[in-house]
Amino acid sequence: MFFKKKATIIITILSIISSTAEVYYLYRLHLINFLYTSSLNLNLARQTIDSSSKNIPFIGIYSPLQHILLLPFIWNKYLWHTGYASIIISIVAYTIANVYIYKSIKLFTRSYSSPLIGVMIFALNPNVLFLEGQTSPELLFFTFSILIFFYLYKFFKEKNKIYLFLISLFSALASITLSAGIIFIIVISGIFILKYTIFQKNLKKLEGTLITFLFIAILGEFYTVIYSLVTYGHIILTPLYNGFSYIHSNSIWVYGMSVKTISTYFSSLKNILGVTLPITSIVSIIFLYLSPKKRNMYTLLFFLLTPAIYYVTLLLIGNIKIQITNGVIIDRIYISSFFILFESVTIGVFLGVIQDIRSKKLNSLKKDITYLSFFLVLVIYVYMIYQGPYIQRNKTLINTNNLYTKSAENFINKKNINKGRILIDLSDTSQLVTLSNINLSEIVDENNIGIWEKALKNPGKYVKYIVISKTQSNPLLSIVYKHYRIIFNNKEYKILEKV
Amino acid sequence: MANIDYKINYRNKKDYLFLPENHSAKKHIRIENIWFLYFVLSLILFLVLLKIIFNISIVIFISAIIAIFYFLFMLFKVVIVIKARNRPMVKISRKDLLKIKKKDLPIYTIIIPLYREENVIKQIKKAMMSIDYPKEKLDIIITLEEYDNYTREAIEENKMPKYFRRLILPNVNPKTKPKALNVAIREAKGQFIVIYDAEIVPDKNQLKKAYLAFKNHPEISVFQTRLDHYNVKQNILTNLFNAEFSFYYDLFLPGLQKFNLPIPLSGHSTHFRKEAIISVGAWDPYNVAEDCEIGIRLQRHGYKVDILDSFSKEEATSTLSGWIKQRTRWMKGFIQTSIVHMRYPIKFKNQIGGWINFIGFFFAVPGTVIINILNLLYWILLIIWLITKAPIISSSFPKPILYISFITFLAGNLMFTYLNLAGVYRRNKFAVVKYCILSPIYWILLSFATSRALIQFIFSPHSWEKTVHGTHLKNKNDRKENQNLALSK
Repeated sequence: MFFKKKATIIITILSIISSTAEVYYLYRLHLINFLYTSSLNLNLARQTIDSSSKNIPFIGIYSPLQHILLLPFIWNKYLWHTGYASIIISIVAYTIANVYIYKSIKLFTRSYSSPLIGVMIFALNPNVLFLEGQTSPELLFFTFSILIFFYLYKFFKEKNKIYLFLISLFSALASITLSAGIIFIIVISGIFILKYTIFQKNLKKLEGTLITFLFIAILGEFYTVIYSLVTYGHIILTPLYNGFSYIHSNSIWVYGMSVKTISTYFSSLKNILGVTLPITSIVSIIFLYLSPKKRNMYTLLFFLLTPAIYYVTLLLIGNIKIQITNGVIIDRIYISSFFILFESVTIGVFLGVIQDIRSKKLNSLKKDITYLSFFLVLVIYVYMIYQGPYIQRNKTLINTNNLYTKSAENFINKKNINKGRILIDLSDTSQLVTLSNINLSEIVDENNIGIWEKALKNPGKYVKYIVISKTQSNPLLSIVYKHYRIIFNNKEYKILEKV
Repeated sequence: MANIDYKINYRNKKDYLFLPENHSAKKHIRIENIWFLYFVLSLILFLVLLKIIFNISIVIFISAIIAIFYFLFMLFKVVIVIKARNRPMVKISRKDLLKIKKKDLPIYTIIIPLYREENVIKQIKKAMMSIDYPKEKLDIIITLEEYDNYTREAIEENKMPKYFRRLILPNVNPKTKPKALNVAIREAKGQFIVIYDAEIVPDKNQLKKAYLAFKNHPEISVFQTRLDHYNVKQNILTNLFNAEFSFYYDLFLPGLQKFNLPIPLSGHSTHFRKEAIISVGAWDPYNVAEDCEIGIRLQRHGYKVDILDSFSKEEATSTLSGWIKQRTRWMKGFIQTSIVHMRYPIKFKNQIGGWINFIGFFFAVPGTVIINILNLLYWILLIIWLITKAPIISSSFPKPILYISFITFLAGNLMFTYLNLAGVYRRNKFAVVKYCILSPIYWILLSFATSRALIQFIFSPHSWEKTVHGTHLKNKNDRKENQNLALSK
């Protein structure tokens, strides 16, 4: 089925060639697994096999799908150390994403060239290519995002119920690839509610469809809650840890680093292709609406609701700082990932629309809207180029702090503080957690600022030790010092013990 | 002959008992079953050796085997469902139906075996009369027991049309549905035969569809139709029953057919070529799930079965006791069928089409019984462990087995619940979807019924617990009476 059409085979072959070339390029520049999160992810997966403390429970400390997929390869020490274990997964994910971007654009256009250009926009995006050589879940997330979009369209258009299963499955997989995957569950449920209440007024169908969809789609979140309960013994504290309110403070750095690293090549393209904008989704809708072939209102809603709900959620939770820099909203890589996909689909469809205009298949009003939209996009991109790159580059590189981490780790291991619960911030991606021999069930991980603050109000209730990273400066810490004494301090970490 | 009871005098039993006893469920303990004894003894010996030589606990070994069996069973169902996802059935379009010329249609025999069905006589009459088929080419045989005056009176009251024949069965044992069918088939005038139970309401054009299906597919000897219920909304049990059927007839049987695996047929709404039935020796009168058994036997003899895209609606058993009795009979029949056909396992393997088909049969028929019984045992074990935390239980599940068992338990329950859910959703029965969440409770009932079937199989293998039909009509009448009462007040 996958290789039914020649174009699919061609895209598959080209994807494998381009990704292999990219990996070779990164290898020559010693940039394979350059991001520190890469080694953390590899180690997390490996610890499932050979940790002295826990085995299976390691699958789940972080969104687990990537680590599960790594398991068949991570057994091999060579693949583990070199990081090639993850490159195999990346290449497959990248290829599938390319094929489905092609297929998605093909749904909306009559031409063959515009889907190919759309694929190229995604496939040759320097950030995407850079991720090929890193062990990070973003590429997988891209793949699930496009698969969800594609099958959502098919479900609404072809009315084949098997697609509902696929949408649910990929939503569940997306939610265990990155915590932001929950957005898909919310958005798709929202679309169903709109469709069956407002447009079709069929509440029975809404009930059936929602239950059928959610039964599979929420399994990922269900897993997270169960994991939290089993590993940490808390169900209230930890759902937020892996939920959508959870902040990956370093992910913007991942994205920033990737752009920075490859700024030496494609430097002129990075602003145009690498940057993202919420407005892209609105423009996407305009183009998709104009697309002469089989447009579908509910699929278009997907483009609108996904970023909208995401931002609203973040604002409501209020513990993420949406930074406005140079007039452009920036956020972590997840939101960027949506737009990288949106861009490719949008531009592909746009080209299809243009071809239709040239072949006089559109009426004059639609023509005007098309040109206006194009003009709008152009203005935005020119403005962005004028403003310069928006990505912050001043994030601390943990590589430079390796020594501090190492010394803290030595302290933990030698002093054997693992005799009571430890409250630790930023631990999900902290090398301290993955390198030191801490029993995970003893860690109360508070990366969420809101919960961290709550935890600091009375930590004595449930933890004996607190590990605070240097980046944390909170007025509440003064309360903590009354009941805890510093037993370790370096430039990166402070370790406190209950008095 | 019309509207007049007629009775056939039989010279000897062979007139209706076509099956030789070694192919029937009359006696289960036979010399051929000795191999099974050998197998059990060898297994025990193997376990003892395992304990002596490798010091592996027998209990751990058994729990490992069970965990693997569960996993394989799950895998089997997934593979089957994937194959069935595009509804691989024989479909007849409306266009094709319109093209049929009346004169081309053959005589079609409908056999309706009745016993104490006085409640639904009106319904079956209406259902049969509304079938879209020339009446002069319909040959409807109603079989009746000599002593069943209730049904006979109800028939008299309802005045059946000319093409209904009433056949009085010989008053000899066994007094079962398959015996009735065996008697009736000799009287059938048509080359195609279908069995409708008392409460069945088939699609109006089902016979025409079946005729075209037989005509277009001369290689197929049996067409199984899709079953549904007309009293789904009656209560939670009927909803769950319907969910189970939606999965079974839309996602399971078509998948089995696609793989050419043996198909356990249903007891009604199955269309046969008469010569196929006769040549295999007709139904086994001693088997309480004669439908399942004949499906397997037909396939052993090289006859092919396919699924016809046409619905027959039946009454979902709506009372718990009725449901348990019905399910006990089905499961007992599954046990009988498994034993009868696996008396000569190698011969069976060769006839059924090789190891893959053998395994397919194993999972579909005896596997279902085994899983149901194991489910009950495991649920009890889990509850005891949760209450007592007995170390003897936890020691039987070392980590790797515990992980496999846990994953299979969790994934299995989720998967089978979802399959039920997907089945009803595909049939656009959106209101039933929510009830599917209760499927695990339904399976506990199923396990109970299967355990009951096992006990019955040992102590009374041929007893037939009849399903009472027409409860939905009673409820309707009750409702009407209440309404009338309320109005009069």
